[in-house]
Amino acid sequence: MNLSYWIEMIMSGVVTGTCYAMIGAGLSLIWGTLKMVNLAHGEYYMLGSYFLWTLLTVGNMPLIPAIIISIVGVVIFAAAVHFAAIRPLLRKPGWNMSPWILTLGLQILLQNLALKIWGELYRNVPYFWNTVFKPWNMFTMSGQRIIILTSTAVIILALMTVIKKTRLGRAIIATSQDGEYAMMMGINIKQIYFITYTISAGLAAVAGILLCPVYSVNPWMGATVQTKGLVVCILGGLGNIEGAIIAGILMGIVESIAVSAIGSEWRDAIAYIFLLGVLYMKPSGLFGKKKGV
Amino acid sequence: MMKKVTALCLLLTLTASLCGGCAGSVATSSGTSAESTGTSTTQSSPGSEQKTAAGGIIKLGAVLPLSGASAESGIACQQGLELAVAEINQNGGIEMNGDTYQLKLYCEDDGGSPDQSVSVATKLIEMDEVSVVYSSCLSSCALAIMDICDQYPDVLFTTIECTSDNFSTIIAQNTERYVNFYKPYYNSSDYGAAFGELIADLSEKGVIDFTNKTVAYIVEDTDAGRSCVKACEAALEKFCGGSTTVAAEVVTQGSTDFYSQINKFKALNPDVVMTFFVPLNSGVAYTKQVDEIGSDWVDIAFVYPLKAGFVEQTGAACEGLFWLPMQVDFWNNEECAAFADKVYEMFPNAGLNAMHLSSYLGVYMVSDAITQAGTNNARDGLAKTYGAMDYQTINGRYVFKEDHTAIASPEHLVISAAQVQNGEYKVVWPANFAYAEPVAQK
Amino acid sequence: MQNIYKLILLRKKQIAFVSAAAALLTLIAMPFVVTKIYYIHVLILCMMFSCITSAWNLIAGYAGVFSFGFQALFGTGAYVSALLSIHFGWSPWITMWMGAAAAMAVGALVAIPSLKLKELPYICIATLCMGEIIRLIASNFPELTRGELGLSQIPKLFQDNIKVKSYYLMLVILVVTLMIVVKIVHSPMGMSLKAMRDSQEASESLGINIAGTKIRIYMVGAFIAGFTGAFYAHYMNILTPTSVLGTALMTQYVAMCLIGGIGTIAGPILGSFTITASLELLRKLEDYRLIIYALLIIVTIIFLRDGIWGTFKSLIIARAEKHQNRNIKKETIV
Repeated sequence: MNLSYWIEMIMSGVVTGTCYAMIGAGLSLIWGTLKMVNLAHGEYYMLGSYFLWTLLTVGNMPLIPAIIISIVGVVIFAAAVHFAAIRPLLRKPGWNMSPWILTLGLQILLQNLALKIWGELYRNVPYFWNTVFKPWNMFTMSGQRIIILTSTAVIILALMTVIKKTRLGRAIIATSQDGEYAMMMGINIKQIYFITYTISAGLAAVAGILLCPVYSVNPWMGATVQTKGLVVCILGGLGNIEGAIIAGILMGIVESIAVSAIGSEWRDAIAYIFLLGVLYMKPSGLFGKKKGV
Repeated sequence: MMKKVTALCLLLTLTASLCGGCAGSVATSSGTSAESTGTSTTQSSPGSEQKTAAGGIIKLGAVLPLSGASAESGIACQQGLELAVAEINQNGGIEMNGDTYQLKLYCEDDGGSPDQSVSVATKLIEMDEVSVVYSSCLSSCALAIMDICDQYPDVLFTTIECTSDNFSTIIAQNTERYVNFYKPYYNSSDYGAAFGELIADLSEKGVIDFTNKTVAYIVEDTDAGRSCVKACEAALEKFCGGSTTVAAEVVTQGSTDFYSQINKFKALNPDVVMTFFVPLNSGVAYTKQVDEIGSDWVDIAFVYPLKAGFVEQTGAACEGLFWLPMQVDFWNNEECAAFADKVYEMFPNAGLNAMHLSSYLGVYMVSDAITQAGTNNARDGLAKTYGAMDYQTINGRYVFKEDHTAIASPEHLVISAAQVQNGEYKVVWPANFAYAEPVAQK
Repeated sequence: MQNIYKLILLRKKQIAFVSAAAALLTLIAMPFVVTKIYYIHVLILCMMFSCITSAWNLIAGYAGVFSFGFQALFGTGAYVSALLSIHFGWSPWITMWMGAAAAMAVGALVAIPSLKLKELPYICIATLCMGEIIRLIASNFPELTRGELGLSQIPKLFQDNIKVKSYYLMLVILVVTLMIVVKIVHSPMGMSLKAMRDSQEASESLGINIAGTKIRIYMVGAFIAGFTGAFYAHYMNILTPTSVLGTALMTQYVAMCLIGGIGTIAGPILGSFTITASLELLRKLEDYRLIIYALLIIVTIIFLRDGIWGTFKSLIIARAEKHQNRNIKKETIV
């Protein structure tokens, strides 16, 4: 078990982790602001991949325009879903179980529509960058994984900047802390809901696009990602985006170590035990704030 | 308020009509069956109805995973069945007792879940009144259906492929109970035996280095996957004088992230790594990732390389890979290639794989059995005739053993191994079936 | 006109009793009306889900513990009963009770830590994780449970395989479950549950032992779920971790409960029957089956936010109050 073994293990954990982080951040945004669980989040991830695949194979487009159009496509679609289905349910800011069912229905609908439109076969998207690097001959890093790491880092930084430094970001934070108060302060909550929803759909789509060369595209690819995303959200503390990001990376590393030390079949169990352990010691998540006294 | 009231009324009407439809179709279907068979059907106590052909149609049912992770396999089976049924009907149908009958196929989705399989099979038998049930291509679903086959002795149950050893074990204990259930395919133990012999032969030839006798496995969490590991270990005992399993990783079906496992294996350094995946994407991901990271071991794959698209999607990464079973040689065998053309003609977007052929042959085998037996009722003789068949196909010779599973041997169903050489599949083992010599993996 | 709504509210108990009796008689008569065994099977599944959803409704709708790991209790009952009857040869009629007891124990194990969590989403995900861990345990010890290979050859309840007997057994289980639910809801414990649901802090100040009540309700719900699970094991005769411990099951009972109307007694049952029946009857649509099913769910929840029964109830109450106010106004003017 030499150094390069450990580095490889941590690196693969970090790569998987950044993707968990992207999904988790998006979910945390929605959850924290709209106070609803979006069970169809994984489907935006899936749609991003499918749009990219369609544009690349059927549309024969070059890579960068295809990526941009795919992201925009998913965002537009998410906006439509928001107006058609989600808006009617968000009458008052507060916890509600009905969006749970709504997004569940959406999940089933989108999965089966994708099955109908694109078929059941696993689709392949080629690596964006087809090289392999061996830094200092210590470990291997494929071009694709470097792209994943850098892109997620850039996007996460951009997201954090928007949240912390811009007016929009502060409005989002206000809405997530106390929706009614924010309304009284003159913030247009409906607009904030819309923006948050579309941004997080966009994040999921980006994650889908980055990962589809590694993971293959199929109608059910969103489901596994969804559960992990929910777990990461809670691990980081609900509504806390930085928390979700750090939790995501941490989770990736924990899983990687679990596979090496124990075995693949216990990977998910170890991740869940980790979450439960954290919650036992800190019931509001790693970085969550305590509500009430 | 009005919106709510209208919506509520709409929903209640919908619910009521669904229930009404339910009761209605109860009446109509029992009515139809009485008319067309001409015999008086008693109230359905299971198994007492005569499944005689009605109005010149023989009905075939299929329980398949048409959605969910195994949809690839399920839909391939469905297409194979449809192709065969269409062909037979076009050629005039099948003969039974001097009359010709058209075939009608009823395919239902069980989502890959065993309890749904039982529900669906029951529905096909009781509502659609099929004479034959193709009991899934997934072993766990087929096992569930096998449990109810004695409740319907007039129906013939046959699987499409399915490899679990459990079938043999259970049927051997009580053959009387499973008199109408067959599995026209070999078992995991046969896979394992081929694996063991292959390694023994390859290491004798010096093509692979098996000095440490260490093996690592990555299989999917299905019974086919898990039982294969046991079968392989047993075979290595027999053919190679034993082996050490350094790791046996079980992953969810459809997983595509193997970096951790590959990294772990690099530290453990096995001689051979066996991977068993049914969905193509897992296999493609593993192959690409192993190529990325680089490895010192020999890779032997099960099942996935036979799916169309493997070489295209992996490119140079799959060069030198050994894999089994090369069930259907779509590339070098002319008859199989002609079959592939037929599939693409009817289903231009099909993901061609061996299941298309297995299900296609499944229909022909059953219809020949019906013609031979002169009946489509399992109890009246179809099951016995089917079980006694010696059926030569373009894919091997099907003969059933005592335990109702098919024999795997060089004279029956051959399990051959192939290697990717210059981007093409070449059968390299066993020697008398080989098209090319095996070469060392780089 | 105004008298009808008043009448309904006044005679709530009688109406409920009569309709329940009517429903029960219909269910008892079903096997004589319906000839195809397949429909009997569907009805058994409907009733089974009614039990599970009623139990979950107690925990989530009344006690407010939205446990997404509830399927683990169903599955524990199933596996424990199945394994005990296979390995020790005991009769399923005995092992069913043991399975339910095991589920109760697991329920307590799950409930106690989750009491520490205050916010809804935390409880949801934490219980989901616990449920998944139990599923993975069942899946990863194939020597014990046969895991995904499937635990088959489970001893049957009725050796002669007549489904109708299982039907009546399930009906009995359902009736007993409902009696338990009604008793709890209309008991002092039920009152404290309602108080807890409305405001946790206020009820704490009134001296209600929140933690104790929650745990007790959880164990009752766990017992019901475990017993139903054990029935399922001996009825289907095959178990896999995904089918009895998986999240697909969770999705189903939550959907049924919410569509039917959470926090009501009739809601979960209505939801179970509606969804199970429509899933089976939509088979005619083949490819479009799940798409239509999903659209139905979406449309239902957008228009009927409290579920079918929940909305119906609030409609009647709203109408009655409106007319009551009108009467008061009339009286004051005069």
